[in-house]
Amino acid sequence: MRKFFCINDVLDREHSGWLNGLTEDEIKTPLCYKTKVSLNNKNPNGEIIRVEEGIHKEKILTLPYKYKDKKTNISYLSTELPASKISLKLFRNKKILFVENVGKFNVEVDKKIVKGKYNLLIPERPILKILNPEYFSEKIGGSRFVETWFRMISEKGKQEDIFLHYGSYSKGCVTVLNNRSFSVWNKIYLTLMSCRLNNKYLAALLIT
Amino acid sequence: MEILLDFYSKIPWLNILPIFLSVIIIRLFYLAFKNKWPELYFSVSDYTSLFISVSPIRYFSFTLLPAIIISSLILSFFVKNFRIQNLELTGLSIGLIHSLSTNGVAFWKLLSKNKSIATFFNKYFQMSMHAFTIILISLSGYIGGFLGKQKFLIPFIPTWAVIDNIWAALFSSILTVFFYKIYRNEYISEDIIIEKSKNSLSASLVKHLNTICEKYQANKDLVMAICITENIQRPLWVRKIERVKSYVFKSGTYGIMQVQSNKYIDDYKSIEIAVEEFFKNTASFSDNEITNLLSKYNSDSKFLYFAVASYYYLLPKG
Repeated sequence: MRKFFCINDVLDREHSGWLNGLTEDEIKTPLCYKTKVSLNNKNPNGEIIRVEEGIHKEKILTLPYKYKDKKTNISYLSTELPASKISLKLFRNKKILFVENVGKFNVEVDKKIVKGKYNLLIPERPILKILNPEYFSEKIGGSRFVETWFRMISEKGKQEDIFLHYGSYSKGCVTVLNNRSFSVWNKIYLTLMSCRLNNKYLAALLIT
Repeated sequence: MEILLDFYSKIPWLNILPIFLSVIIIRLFYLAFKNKWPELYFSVSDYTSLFISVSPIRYFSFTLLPAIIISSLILSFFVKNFRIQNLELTGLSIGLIHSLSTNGVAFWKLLSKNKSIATFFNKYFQMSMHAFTIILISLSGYIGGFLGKQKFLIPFIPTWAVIDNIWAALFSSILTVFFYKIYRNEYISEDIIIEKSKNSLSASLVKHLNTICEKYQANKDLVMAICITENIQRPLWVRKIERVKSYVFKSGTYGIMQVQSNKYIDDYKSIEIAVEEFFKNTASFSDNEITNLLSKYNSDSKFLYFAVASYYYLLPKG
């Protein structure tokens, strides 16, 4: 029987929640924190895994070791798979995002986003835009995970570029606003990444 | 001159050691200020040099006081513990070696029209300044030797504390130079320093750390943060020097966790001892508890700053 693992040990600021695996053609493929994988093999260069969820599902990748010397290899993988389920509610008029068991957060919502049920996709890649450096500073409420945006897929409509993300208002998105006293996005990110609806989505978001 | 030659012909090794140590520490002190000896006196392009050379009192304090203070402290330690003789001449030698290797070299370069030295204002004025400084620094060393004999200098400090202080001074100088050099040319963030230190740890050491932390239910990120910090402050090559030091002075702090011990202990053992003594059952500690524990472990402000920064480098708040 296949044994499952997940990407772990990537929460430091060097990785900021992402680990690049290499395809057979040496193409970099980013996997987010807690991505479920199965281990096919190990070799001196790394661990050969199969991605078991998300957009990269079924890809065979080589993951590097976190630490490596002549005698010892330390893996990024862990057996602590994400299992919890949470619900998110967005109150459009009040501009409040409610995350079950975590709290309420101030948001900015684009007017074009319609009420209804959305699912949050497992992130596929970091969004490498030029962002305000303050967003990364956790001393003033920023987060190392600001490059992780969660794509929202409407249960009714087609796939659009609607994201739940942190920072300053952007068109067509739900933007979680800064709170200088604590890192809002760290809380939301860590909560969402530990949740799964299925092997495609993290959680559901209801907009009312 | 004859007295000096006579002194040097009879010089015992215990007099060489303080000379060697003092000259190194003086040099490191100036390196920390990016003092490109001896251009400092005339340069106006370097802000540090400008700040120092703008006032004669500041200039002479900066030039002479380090030689006096460092030589007197080192010599007082050696006279107390090894009863060395000829303190003034040893001090004079410290000043002379230091000044000849800096101002003397510059003087020679000016004399031989070497292009590697910048000339300012009047060449002969510059040469006479160097010659004058050689005399003054040598005299400072002499004064340092005289002061080193005085009992008031270290009457209450135990030997181990003096040794530790000398090492601490040496390592602080190395660290300051390291950081100064890093920040001088380009901006390198705190994160990069932490990242480099983290990635320089060996896999077997990290594996050992993980095993020990699991055994004692210790907070892995916290222990790792301390390893990263100590590895910045005392990198592997410095810890190797500490090992050599342990053959002479057994007592000290050893290993990557800088554990106090009466004999040498390696990185692996230092993790075991530190985790067992300080970090048992800390796996679920809150942020406040972590900070308190760190300050109990080592209250030095620089250590605390980097340890907390390393901890939150590894683990996001939230």
